[in-house]
Amino acid sequence: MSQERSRALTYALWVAIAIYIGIAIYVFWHFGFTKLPPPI
Amino acid sequence: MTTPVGGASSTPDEYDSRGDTRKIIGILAALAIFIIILYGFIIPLQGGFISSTAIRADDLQGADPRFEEQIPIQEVDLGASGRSIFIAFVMPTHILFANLHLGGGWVLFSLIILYILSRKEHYSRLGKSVALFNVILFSAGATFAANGVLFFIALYPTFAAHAFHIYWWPLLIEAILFGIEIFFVYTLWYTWERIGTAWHIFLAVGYPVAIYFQTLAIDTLVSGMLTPGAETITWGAPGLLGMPWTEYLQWWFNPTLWPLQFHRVAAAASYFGFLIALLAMLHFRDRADPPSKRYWDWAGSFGILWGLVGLVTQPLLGLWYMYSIFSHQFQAFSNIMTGPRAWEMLMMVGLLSFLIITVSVYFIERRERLLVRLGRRDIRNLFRAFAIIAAVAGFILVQPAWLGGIMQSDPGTWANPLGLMYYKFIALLILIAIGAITIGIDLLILHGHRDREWGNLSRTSRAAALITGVLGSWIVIIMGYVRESSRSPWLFYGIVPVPGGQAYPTPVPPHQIFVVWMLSLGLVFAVFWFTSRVTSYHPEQREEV
Repeated sequence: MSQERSRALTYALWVAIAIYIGIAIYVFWHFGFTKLPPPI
Repeated sequence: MTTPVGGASSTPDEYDSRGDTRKIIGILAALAIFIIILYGFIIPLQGGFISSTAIRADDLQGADPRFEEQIPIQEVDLGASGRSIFIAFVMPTHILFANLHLGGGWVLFSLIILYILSRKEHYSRLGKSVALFNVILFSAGATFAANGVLFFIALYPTFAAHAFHIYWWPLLIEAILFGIEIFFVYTLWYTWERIGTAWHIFLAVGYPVAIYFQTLAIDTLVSGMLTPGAETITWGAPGLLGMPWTEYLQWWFNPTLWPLQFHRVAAAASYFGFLIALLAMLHFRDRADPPSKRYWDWAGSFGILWGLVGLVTQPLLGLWYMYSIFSHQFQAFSNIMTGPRAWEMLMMVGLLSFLIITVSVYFIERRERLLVRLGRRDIRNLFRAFAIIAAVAGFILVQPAWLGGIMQSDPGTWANPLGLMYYKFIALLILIAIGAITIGIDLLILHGHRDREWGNLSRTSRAAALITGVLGSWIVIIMGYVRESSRSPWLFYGIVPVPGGQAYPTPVPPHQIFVVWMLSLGLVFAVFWFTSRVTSYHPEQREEV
């Protein structure tokens, strides 16, 4: 694999990890903070 | 002490090849303290020793007499919870064997794809070992499954009659898929390196897909017990369908089917990854030759990464699952979140936290030498920070929300200011972020630099990997117990009660289930280790891994 492609793949995977963390924040907000019963 | 195998010597003040064993002692001590506080303090003060049969006695009064046991209850001479103990032993043990396929199938697929892309021998060798391991242990999983069916029929005959009738078609598909599954994995192992790439990929895809659908078939029943598809069971006329097709669909594709299914797949992948790490560490210790030490060091790291991938996806899927239970079976949700079974959730998130902490320690220790060589103090410090932050998050997660009452809403209970769910959500998000970033650092930054280091495995990183294997397996059977005890004292929630009423309380009490867990884990680890010794292919010559 050329160095350029390797670097592009690395960036793409970092972006994927960032997106995953973003999805996690959204899911916790959507289900946890707004839909499940409020903490007593 | 582990003597480094090859590689340049390091600066003594920068790197210690023994590792910092105090971290492992700290993890084990914290785990022991957590269990002692949970069992000695939190469970009694949350009514965890009081059975759901007693707490939900009024509900049981309203059960339809059609679903009470019609023939004498078969006891097993293990006390009032004896029948439940039989099931609690045989089914989780079956799950630990079955998950070898559900999780292992995808790990095997990844190894085959990596081998095809890179042609590196160690991917093929580990893949072939996994295939043979699963071929041999298929019979153990099937044996426990068959025993489970026998126990259900003998110990819970009314429930078994209805359950096997409602789920006849999914269970028939499951039975057929047993044959398809063993065909795929056996053929995959037997024809290894004898068939072309296309056939190899076909078998590698067919194996996990067959298991996925087999798990989906059995999950229709497992999820339907918690969230049944109707308020009662209404049978129609004899025929291929015992009730209208649309009603069957309600029972099979009930509200918690999909979250349970996806959560199970993620948990199985994580479990299998950590199991590879555990077995690899035992092989590492067992083998004297440097090529084998390098290979098993790499295999352990590969397993840890798979374990971590499965681990960071579980809280998201778990939250979806909890929301489905909250929406469709609120009383069961109350049992496990704000009621007498909440200690089980504390135990589960406690082990999740310990897993992330232990994985962080593994990476701190395992990559220390490499990071010193690369001069990457930033990553060294980041891994250390991760372990500390994960410990703080874990401390928040294991906080009981209340003490001094069976239900959180009971009058006079003490509300723990640190036990708010909002804090726990944030703590879980932090653990997810730590896990995901750790995967990124190891795969994307360190990947090209790790090769020289394989074989230099300190005792501390070896111990950390062993601990992840134990915790990764333990958490799987705790998850099953949480689901089963959430619906106690019902077998089909609100429809079919656990027969025998107050004389046969459920769920299995905390002390007894702890003994059952230890027996189950002890048995499967003994089987895994002895099987692994005859199914693992070791390197025959020096190679780069």
